[in-house]
This record gives sequence, structure tokens and C-alpha cells, in this order.
Amino acid sequence: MSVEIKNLNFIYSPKTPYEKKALDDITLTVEDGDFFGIIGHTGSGKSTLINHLNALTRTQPKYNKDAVLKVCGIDLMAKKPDLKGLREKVGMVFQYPEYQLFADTVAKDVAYGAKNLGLNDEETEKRVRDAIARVGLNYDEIAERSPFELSGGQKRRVAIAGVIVMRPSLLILDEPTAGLDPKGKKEILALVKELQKTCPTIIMVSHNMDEVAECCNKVGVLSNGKIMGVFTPDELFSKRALISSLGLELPTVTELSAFLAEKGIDVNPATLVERDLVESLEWFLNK
Amino acid sequence: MSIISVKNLTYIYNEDMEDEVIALDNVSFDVEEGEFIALIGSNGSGKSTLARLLNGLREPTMGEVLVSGIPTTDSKRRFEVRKSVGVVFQNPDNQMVTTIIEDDVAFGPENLGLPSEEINARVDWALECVGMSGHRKGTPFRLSGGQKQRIAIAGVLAIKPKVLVLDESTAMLDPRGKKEVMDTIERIREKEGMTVIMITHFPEEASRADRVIALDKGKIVIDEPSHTALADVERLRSYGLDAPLPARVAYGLKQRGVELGEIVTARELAEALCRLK
Repeated sequence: MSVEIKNLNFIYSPKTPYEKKALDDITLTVEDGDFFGIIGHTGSGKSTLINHLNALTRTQPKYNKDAVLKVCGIDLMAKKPDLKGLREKVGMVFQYPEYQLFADTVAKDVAYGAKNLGLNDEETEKRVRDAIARVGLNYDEIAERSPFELSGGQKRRVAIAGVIVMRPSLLILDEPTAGLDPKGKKEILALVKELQKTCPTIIMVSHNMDEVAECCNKVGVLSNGKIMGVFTPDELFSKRALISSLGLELPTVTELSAFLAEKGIDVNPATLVERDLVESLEWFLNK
Repeated sequence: MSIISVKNLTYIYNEDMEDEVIALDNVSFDVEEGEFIALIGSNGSGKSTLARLLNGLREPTMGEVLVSGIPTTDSKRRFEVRKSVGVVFQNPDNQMVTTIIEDDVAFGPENLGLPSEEINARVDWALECVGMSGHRKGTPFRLSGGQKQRIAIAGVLAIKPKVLVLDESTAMLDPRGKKEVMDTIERIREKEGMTVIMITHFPEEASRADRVIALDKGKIVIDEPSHTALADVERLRSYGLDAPLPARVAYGLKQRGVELGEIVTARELAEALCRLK
């Protein structure tokens, strides 16, 4: 399994007036090959949780006497965990990753992570070419350009290339489509699905339930630092009461199909994907 | 007189240089008082440039922008223009200037040199408009994104502009924050009848407007009542844009040979389906 978490706690500013329990007894497993969604309202602990997975946030031994945190086989509760090994295996794409672009050419920016793995120039260049191709950009056209003169969607692709160049076995994406226009969103989503072919295990934090419904095979739901359960999208989005009690939304397709069902149209009120809704409406009309 | 009049507006970045970009290319439209306009367009289409030209943050390369008849380039009357057109930007964190919410909202009217009772009254009114009166003495840094953005809107309202321009002001917010901001905008429109120009990528948000203007590569390609603009899925897609889900579903059925007519809302879709059955 890729991620094993048992009874994990995390407290910000402990023993101060601002003390906040950001993670409260979290138990969760991500298997190899999962496309695992993490949802929850702002402040529910999503970022704190994923920051634990590549040890950007270190565990607090004091509050984690019986906790387990293993990521890609590395025990992060150990006294001296193998952090270098961990960061080679876990690729993290932050929110708005294009803000992290820094080099004067795309090729140099993408190469940064690979170089830090200690790869030689030849291997680095090979990997950079491969990473740029895998995010759907043309190496010869783009390699020597400044990343800052690219469009928003292209910048984001370059930033993702800079992560997958390290060939992680677990890829974590925090809101990968936020702030993009509809076309950019679709392209990045298609790219993320495509990436699963070479990086089979993906964890995606998202507020966009349409994307969660479309991509994920499992979804972990966080609220106030607690895990409310791990569901398949079908299970999750048929629990309307849970969703609304947590201040979350249904996918727009589910919302619409429920509305149509209520108006007496014979469709599954928990339809998740647009294509399925169109098909069942066609069936309804021809019935 | 139109409240905003954009005439043959062209804006070029880095003019006559190697990396010259024509961001706006001979754009013309008028905005009447009380209108609610959604300005849509893919990334790089020129929307944000246009927002910055509407209150004179940038000056036209060619053509002109008139606010209540005053050209934005008239340096003597720039203050009047800036007072008339308030802009709320995308990132709430970049728009907070002080550590106490009431000071933040008061920043604009203070700079107008108003007497302190008037400033106080405006802060009260603006916070009331955005539903944040209870947070007057609090600090912006402990608020959620949606709440911060409502404070940013209050800060602009306190100047009492005639036109409120929102440049993707919900893009960085979670669904709850997006809804808070959209509901706030509708409330301001209902109560104050304010003219609103809203730049957005979200077709569901655009459907709340009366009129949709779409930009593509710096040119206006759609300027229509929002209903007809948002029902035309194929045309929107050709500009890299999207239609609201009910319109997309109707389009999907059309491609399978079922014609439902002009659909934008869930209600229209339900009614059309019931009619056919």
C-alpha cells in the first residue's frame, strides 16, 4: 500500500490561545493504484494531512503515541525517517504551482528536481524531455523559452513537469485545476488522468465535486480534522444529508439529475457524469 | 448618457517591441446604469486588461473609455473616474491593507477626505451590505477566503462607486466562499441597484447576469442577453468557453437527434423534457 495512516493527530500552536487540532485521530489507507480524492471544507485539515505525506509538516511525537504514518514504505514515525528517499518517491504539486516557477528557461526549471536527485546531465536531459512531453508540451518549441511568458495553463503544465521529472511513485495534487479557464481545466484534468498510466497512485485534493466524481475511485472526507469516512464516488454522492451537513456540494450533474428526477423525469437521481445523464435522458425520451 | 462607454478601444502591451501583444483590439460597447454584465473569455482573451482600463488603472493605446462622459485619460478628473468605478480583484489576500476590518473598509472613504461621521456611516453601510457587520472590530487575517473577499467588496462599496467591477473575484474561493460572494453581489444589486460588471470563468455565475460579453483574442465575439449567449454551446466552445450544465445536456441530446430548444437553466430543461414526453 502507498499510504498507511493510523490514529494521526496534529495540533497547531499547542498550549496557546490559538491552539487548533488540525488532525484528530486520522486513520486512512491509500492502496497502490488508487486515484484517491480528499475533500472537505476550507480549514478541515486537507492541507495539513497532505503536508504530512512528504514530511513538509513533521509529526508531533508527543501527541502521536500510538500513531502510524507510512508513506511508500517509509516509516515517518521513526526517529530518523529517510526523508530524502521519501521526497524522491512522493511528488507534490501544490495549489497554483506556477507560482513556484523560477528559472529563466522551461528546461532549467523542469530540470531542477532531477538535478537535486543527483542525476548526471545526460540522464537529467532525458528525463526533462520525457517530462515535458508527458505534460503535453513540445520540447523543441518550449524548452528555451522563459516560463513566465507562457499562458496560465502552459505554466501549470511546466510546473507539473518539474514534479514528475523525479518519477515519483505517489503523486499528490492540491486543487490542480483551480483558477484555470474551462478549457484549461479540461486539459489539466485529462493530463492528470493520463499521468496515472506512469504514476499509478494519485492523491488529489479538490473542491470541485465534478472532478472528484469523474476521476477518483475512492474519496476521503475530512471535517474539522476528523475523517468522516472513505467512500466510492457513487456511495458518497448518494449521501445527500452527509454532504450538506459538511457544507460540501454535490457534483453539478448529480444536482441536476436529482432536480429532474424530482420533476417526474425517470433518471437516476445520483448520476455522476454528464455523458451518463445525457444517455439516460435519451433512453427516457425513447422509452 | 451611458455610465461607461468604450469606444474603439485598443490596448497593446510592449508596443513596437519584439514581444508586442495586442490585448484588446478595437473594442466598443456601452454600459447603461443598473446593468449586470458578465464578461467572459478564455485566459489571455483580454478581460483583466479591460477591467484595468475601465477605471483608468491603464490608459488606452488607441480609442477611449468614458465614465459618465469623462475620459479616463483626463488627469484632472481621474479622481472622479476612480470614485465612479470600483474594482475588486481575484486574490483576497492582496487587497487587505490594515489589520482591523473597519480600518480596512474605511481606507477608501478616508482617502476621499470625508468627515469622520460620514466615514463611519459608510463603513456601517458597506459591512451591512456584505453581511459582515459582526466582524467590524476583527482582523481580516483570521477570516475565510469568502469573508475576506466580502471585506474587499465592502472596501470598494464604501467609496460609493456607480459601477462595481469584479475581476474573477470568486476564482480562488471554495464553493461556500463562491456562494457567499455571489449572494452578496445579488443583494447589492437588489438593494442598491448598482451597475455590476463581473469577469468570470464560471458559466453558472454568468447566467445570473442580464447580458454576456465574450472576448476572444482581444475582440468582442458575443454581446447578447445572457440567455441566448449561454444557450449556444457550440459557439461558446469554439472560443474555449463553457455553457451551464443544462445547456450542455440539451446540446448532448440535440446531437442524438432530440431538439429541446434554447435551454440554460435546470427548470427549462425539465419543462422541455416533460413537453416531449
